[in-house]
Amino acid sequence: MVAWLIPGVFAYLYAVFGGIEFALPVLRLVTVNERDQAVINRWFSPVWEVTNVFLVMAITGFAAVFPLVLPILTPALRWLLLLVGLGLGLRALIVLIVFYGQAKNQLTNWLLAAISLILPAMLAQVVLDLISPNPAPVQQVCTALIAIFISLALGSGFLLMVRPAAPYRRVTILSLLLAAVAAYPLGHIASLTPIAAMIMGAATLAASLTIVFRSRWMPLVASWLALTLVFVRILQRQWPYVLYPNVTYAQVAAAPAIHQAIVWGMVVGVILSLPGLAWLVVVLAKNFGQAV
Amino acid sequence: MKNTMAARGLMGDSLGFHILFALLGVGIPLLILLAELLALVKKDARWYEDARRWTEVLVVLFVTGAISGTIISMQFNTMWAPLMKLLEPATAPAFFLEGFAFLIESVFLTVYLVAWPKKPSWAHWVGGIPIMLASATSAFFITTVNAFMNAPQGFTLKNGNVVNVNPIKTLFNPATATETSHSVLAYYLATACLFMGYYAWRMWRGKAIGDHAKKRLVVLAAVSLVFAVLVSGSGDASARYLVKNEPAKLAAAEGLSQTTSHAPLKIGGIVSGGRLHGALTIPSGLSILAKGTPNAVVTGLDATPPYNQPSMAIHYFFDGMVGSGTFILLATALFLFLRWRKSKFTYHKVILWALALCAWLGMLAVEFGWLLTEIGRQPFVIKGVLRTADAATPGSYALRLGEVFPSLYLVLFAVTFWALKRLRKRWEAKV
Repeated sequence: MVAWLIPGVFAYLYAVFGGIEFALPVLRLVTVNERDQAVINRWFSPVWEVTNVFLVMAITGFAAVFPLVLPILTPALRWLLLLVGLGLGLRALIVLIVFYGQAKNQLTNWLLAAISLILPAMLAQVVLDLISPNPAPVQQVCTALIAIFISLALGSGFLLMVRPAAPYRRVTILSLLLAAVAAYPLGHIASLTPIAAMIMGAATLAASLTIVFRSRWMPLVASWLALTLVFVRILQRQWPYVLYPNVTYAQVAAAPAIHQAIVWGMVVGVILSLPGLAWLVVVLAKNFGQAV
Repeated sequence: MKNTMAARGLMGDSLGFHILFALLGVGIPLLILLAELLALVKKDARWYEDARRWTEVLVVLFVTGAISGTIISMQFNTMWAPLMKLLEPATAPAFFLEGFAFLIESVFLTVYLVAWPKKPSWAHWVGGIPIMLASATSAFFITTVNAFMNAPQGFTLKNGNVVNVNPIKTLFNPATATETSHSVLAYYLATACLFMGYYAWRMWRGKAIGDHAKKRLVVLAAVSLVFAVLVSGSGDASARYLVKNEPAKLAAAEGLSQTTSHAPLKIGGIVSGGRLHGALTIPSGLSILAKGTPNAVVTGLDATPPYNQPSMAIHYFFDGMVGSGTFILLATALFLFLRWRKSKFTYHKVILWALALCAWLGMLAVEFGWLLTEIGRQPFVIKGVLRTADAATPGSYALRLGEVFPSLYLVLFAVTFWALKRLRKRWEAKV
């Protein structure tokens, strides 16, 4: 049963880091201050690299723990998944051009921002298709908007952490409120009403605490909270089906021996890696001031 | 059948590209560690600068490899659902542990890069070792999946479903030892050759001609030579594995139609009508290589029913792979010999051209090796368990999408190349 959590944990990590990563090119486009843009440029690459690895882990985790999931899901959602795959591939190309090739072309910046807005919306459609077969157009629009606004909230909350002077506080709060507005009709239709209340709560919390304490990390915490609540609620709504109402997780799970091998492999990997990582972190702490 | 062929073409194209990115992700960490080690031992800042630059290259290729890997996993599940229905339950731990090793590598690489000190330090160098180990581990696990497809074991097939899986047996199947060692060593060889070839080409063009550039070329040639020898050894072990476990693949690769003693070793030639014509023949050569004695009997293609025979066209890939490896071995050995003898011809344009050619040959050898094992397994995708004709997802959308992914990969390749060129320009601007 421990193994069942593995793909979920990586999918959750992808949602958190992906939310930040998708928002950064959009915020970069609307940011006029050069110093703020430099901060986004500085932070985008490491976040993007880690995010992609979490996506790989989420997919391989699902494939390993629930080996029959992907052969069932991919033909069922083939067009959507292929579009997502193409979108991710195209976006990666533009990221390479903009951030690694350091091209200074405004068209590529616009294109990157546009794809970065569309992709979370498309990924949200994948999740919606899993929960609800043949979703209504209003559900599709609302789900897309929730994904976009929570992503913007996470991205602006993250930037506020690394550059407190920038005007991201209002973006976070506004995005959370708009996500709550988008969640309300969705909640009404899909029996997901608590989501609206939860996002609203997160937005209110962020608004209150940032106004009262001028905290630099509270908007990120509130955005993360909103995402977590949505994530947990979706899981709760979906359980025990992986593809409602035909396929359950139990039907597609691997044998216990496979799960044991995966968990033990992971434990061994972590045990072997920890000393090395601790060593490297010590080096980092020692050299950070003089890092090139 | 058309659908299967389209899916095969599509998958072959994607994997062909992905292998190039992935093998560099395995090989470059070793070269970085070597350069940083030389910087520490020789107290030479230029080696340290090389290590830093190669790390930046690794990051770009790491990212590209992650993207192409993600696209491939989507492709596999979309285009090959019946195959994945059997393969994933049986080899799930290998897929997962490959990804997990990749995660460990990415974490270490990020911290290693951020923690880069201004001056070389032993502590930082030691912190880089897990990157190399994790990348090799990742390559090991994904190659075990291919090994499983060549020598499936550790499961029961019941009503078309995989049950009673023994993960240890599926991971450590008869092909694992030879295939993983040969592949990983070949990745190191191809990477060293690429770097050596690149710097030789720069020198050939009159750039990078200083003292350090010459030393760097020597070190890279030495690394290439060491791995060329190791790959030859592991290749011999692989051939012996084929003799015992996959005789039809070996027979097709060697162009051996009839089972015979004193089997000749055939080099070159043209495959036509299921036979090899015009090859250079070494009498009893194959018998000696396969079993150690000239009168040993080597199984030919005639021992396999015609409907289960692989195409003899893999003989071309076999020759291409062995020929590339032999050229690399000879070129690097000659270069190092000339250097040792302090010959005036050491950096002659012909020698540099030969070393530059190794950059392509190392990559080609890996591609040929992969084609050899894949096409040599046909008509099965999992040997003896699932035929390729039954492995593709039914429907015609593979045909319709056939053009999209290859185009995407071509663009990905071009953009990666362009980004690396921009990286070099920035380095040159710094100097």
